[in-house]
Amino acid sequence: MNDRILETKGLKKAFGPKEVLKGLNLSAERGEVVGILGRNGSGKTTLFSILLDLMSADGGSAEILGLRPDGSGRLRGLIGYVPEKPAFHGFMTAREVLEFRARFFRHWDMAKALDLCRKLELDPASRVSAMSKGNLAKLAWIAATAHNPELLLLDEPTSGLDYLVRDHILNGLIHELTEGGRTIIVANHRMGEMGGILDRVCVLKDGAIAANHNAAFLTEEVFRAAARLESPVSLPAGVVALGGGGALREFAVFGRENLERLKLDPAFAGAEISPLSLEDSFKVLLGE
Amino acid sequence: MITLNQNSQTPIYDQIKLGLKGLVKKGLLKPGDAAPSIRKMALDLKVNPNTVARAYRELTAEGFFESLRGQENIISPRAGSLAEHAARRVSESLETALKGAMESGFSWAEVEKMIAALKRKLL
Amino acid sequence: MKNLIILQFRKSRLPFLVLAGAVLLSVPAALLFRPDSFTGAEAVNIAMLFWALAGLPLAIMTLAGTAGSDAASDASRAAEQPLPASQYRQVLSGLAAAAAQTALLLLAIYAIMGFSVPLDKLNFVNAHVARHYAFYAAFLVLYSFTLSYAFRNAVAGGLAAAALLVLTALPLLSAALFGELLLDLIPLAFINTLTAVLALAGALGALHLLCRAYARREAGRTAKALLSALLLAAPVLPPFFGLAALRAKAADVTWPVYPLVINSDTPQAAPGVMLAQKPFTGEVFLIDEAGRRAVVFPEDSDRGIPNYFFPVPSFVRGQTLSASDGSVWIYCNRYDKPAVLMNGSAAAGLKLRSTLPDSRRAYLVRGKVPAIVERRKNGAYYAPLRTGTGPLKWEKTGMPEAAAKRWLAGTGEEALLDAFLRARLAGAPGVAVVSTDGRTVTSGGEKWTVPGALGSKSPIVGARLNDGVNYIVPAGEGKDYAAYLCPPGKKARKLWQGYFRFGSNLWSATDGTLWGYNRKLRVEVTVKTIFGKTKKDLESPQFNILTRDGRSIESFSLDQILRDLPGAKGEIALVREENGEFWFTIGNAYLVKTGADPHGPYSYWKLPQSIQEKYWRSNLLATRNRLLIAALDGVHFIDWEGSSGKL
Repeated sequence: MNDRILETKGLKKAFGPKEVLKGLNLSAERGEVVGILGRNGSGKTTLFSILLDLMSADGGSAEILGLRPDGSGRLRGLIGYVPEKPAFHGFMTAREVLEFRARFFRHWDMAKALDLCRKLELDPASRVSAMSKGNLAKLAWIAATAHNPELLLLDEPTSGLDYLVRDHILNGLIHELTEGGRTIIVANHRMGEMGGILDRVCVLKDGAIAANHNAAFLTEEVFRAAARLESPVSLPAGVVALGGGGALREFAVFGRENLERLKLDPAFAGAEISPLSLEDSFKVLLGE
Repeated sequence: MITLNQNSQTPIYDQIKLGLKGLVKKGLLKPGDAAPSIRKMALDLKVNPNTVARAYRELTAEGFFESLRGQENIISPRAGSLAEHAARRVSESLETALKGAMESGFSWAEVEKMIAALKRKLL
Repeated sequence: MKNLIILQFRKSRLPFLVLAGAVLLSVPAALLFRPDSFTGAEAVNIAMLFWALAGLPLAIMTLAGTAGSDAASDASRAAEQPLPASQYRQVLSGLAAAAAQTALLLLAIYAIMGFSVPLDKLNFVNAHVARHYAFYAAFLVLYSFTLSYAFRNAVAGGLAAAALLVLTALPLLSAALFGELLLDLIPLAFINTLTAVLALAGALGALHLLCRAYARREAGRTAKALLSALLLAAPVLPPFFGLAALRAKAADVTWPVYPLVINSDTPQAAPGVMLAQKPFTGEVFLIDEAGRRAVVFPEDSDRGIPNYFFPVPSFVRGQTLSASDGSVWIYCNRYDKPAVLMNGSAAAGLKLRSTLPDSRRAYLVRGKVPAIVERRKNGAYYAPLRTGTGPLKWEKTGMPEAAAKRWLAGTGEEALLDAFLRARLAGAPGVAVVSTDGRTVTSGGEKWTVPGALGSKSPIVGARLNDGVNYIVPAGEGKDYAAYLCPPGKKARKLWQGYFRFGSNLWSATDGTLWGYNRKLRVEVTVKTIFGKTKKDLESPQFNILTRDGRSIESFSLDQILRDLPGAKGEIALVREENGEFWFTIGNAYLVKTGADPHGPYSYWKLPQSIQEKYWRSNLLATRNRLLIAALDGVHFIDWEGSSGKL
């Protein structure tokens, strides 16, 4: 089994006249935690649907865990998927949901599932129709991880959840990582809390991956430069304008090399340099 | 126990190493104690366990951790002396730098200003 | 797959249980509320029949419809799509669950009815539906589900499915009814099977395409939706094509035209021509042995919409009579339309001579001249048939009943005092009267003495043989009977043992040969079928024949030929004698030629298929040189050596 767990080449998908994915290339190696950063409606869910063999792409190719999506649903047995809006049959209890799912997945570990229920404080006897959003998220998480899949696809796993539940989910993520060999792809429009866990961040913009950075790079090598510009300048590489009024302008600088070059640039003499927070760098990447 | 600064230019694994070294220096961790497991550290800090694992590997390579009686990541007896040694080296460098500043004619106030500026720059 | 089906069952538990409960509850309800005229079992049966014919179809539309619309709903998809079963399978599980629920309900109803359906108590439509119930139910399940899935709406899907079912079933029902009541013209079993196969394949195929287009959002959605629509419409085609084929074939069906009543004084039909009709187009025509035809009534173009689905035959009654100048008189009446009287020939065409408003009660008679008698409200009217143009001259006569009463009350001779009757029978080859004591037979100037003749009250019609008009008189002989022959210019002599009466068991073939029988033998025939051999019993009449040159043959039996010919059944008739060879028709199926020895060599020819007649009628008409057959697809001929063709 090779280490390239996932690879897409030129994925295209359009719904009528609207093109959602325009040639998307994405890859993930075994053990990586990849974050897909994209605004609402940028195509994250469409991408996941194609990867999960729920929707067929109009063009391009995808290979996941050595298989291609072919409509048979086999891929879904190997991937742990937490959808953006988890949905289960309202008349079932949590335990019934898990027992039902168990019949479809060969490597289902019921003991692990019930243990997770205990850890996440989810009552197995509670009925789905009465569950809060947080409990549904917990159930979705348990259902996705109970069969020990090699690949986890998480679509907005923590959005709209309170601190405690979010904490549970993140702990679960880290727990899965400590098991070893898991590859995780998280699609989110807010990456802040995950900064420490991600290995890589891909920015999904205009139907393709616009940028691909290591998480370490984003924490360690992105700076904010405040400078006074007398006249308009053309921005050197890796420098993005942030705003500011009048002559006082702010810029984001990506990469230590680009920062050094900026410092030597006479137009930017006397610039005030400080590190740019992860949240802000994400904002810049999205807006760029 | 250890706090991380997500916005710092220091890589996270480095911050973990420094944090642990700090704990030993403060005496909160003594030689022979087991360091927190990778999992616990990762859960506490909300970081990728691989990052913690890398930090621990480097600490083991540096001799800060050792394996004892089948257990891994035990604070080695040298850890204390390594920390002491590092602290002493920093102290000596600072002393040299400050002595040089004094001899060049800088007042304490000017030196403190410089330190403040450097602090901003480095952190 | 099994788990998915169980899930679907769980999801639709409530409506299913409600329906099952309703079915079960209708049993005590039927027993409680039954009218006194029904027994308990009958009341329950009626309740179950109501369910089968009305309640269950609605239940199917509900169960399958909601299953289909549910499978297309977002909520359902969100909960089930993450499962590692293909989306098509997930959709199929909904269909399978709905089908299983339907089967359970149907089984419950069938079981409550005691596993048997009282088909004989149902009208034809309901019985047909009951026989094909499995097909109709399966169709409704498949289509309610698929269309509800396509429209995402249970009501729309259910109604559309019901509409398609009616559209498919109506032609099939019509064709089945047609075949049952009238004729088997099309291969209904094949069409039924084809329709069923197309329905199954069409629904499943459409479901697959719709799943790919709308669940998987594959490209080319419009094309897939159109293809699905075509697949779903496919099973409607074989029934309609079958119906069109049925109509086309029905238009060719040819039937002879018979008089309303045939009795012993009905004049003989005009020789050498057949009056034939096409019951499904309304065409009536006269055709001779060379194939020349003249139209009596043309095709009826206005037939109406209901007639499209069920071609209704309309039959005419009619009579032909030959005139002294060789032309043919034709009287023909149709239901609800005035009757016509025509004159002419097959070669030269027919001219309308009169229209008769009171058409049902008129008939042609042969008196001194050919004539027509019409019974109107105020009496019987009589008009001689004269060739040429000009209207008919009607004269009022006494009611035949009054004349008949006088005739019955009087002696044989006095009966002929009634001028009308005398004229009516005057056209027969000859008429003889039996004296009151039954010993003397008189005709014209001739007189014969016969011991103990029977039937002294009715006149005897003669038969023209080579030597003139002969009379065959049944006479009593102690406990037995005998047939006496009274030839012209000779003494009466005993012809045959047994009772023979001209017109009842003694007939004259077209060429004048007399034949009849009063005994039949049972012949055992082995019939080979695909399942093996079976034995059948056939009746073989013992024919007595009097040829035109006066030879008498008795106990001429075709039992050997009947054993040899497969599928020979029906009435046997002698149609011709020539140089000691005899031609017989067996039913409407065979023409057989034998020599003087019926157990010797013989030839036979199979006739084209015509309608099986229940009574002693025939689609066959012997002319001088040919046998004409009114067959399913037109008028055929076969000559006396077996050459055949279509006219």
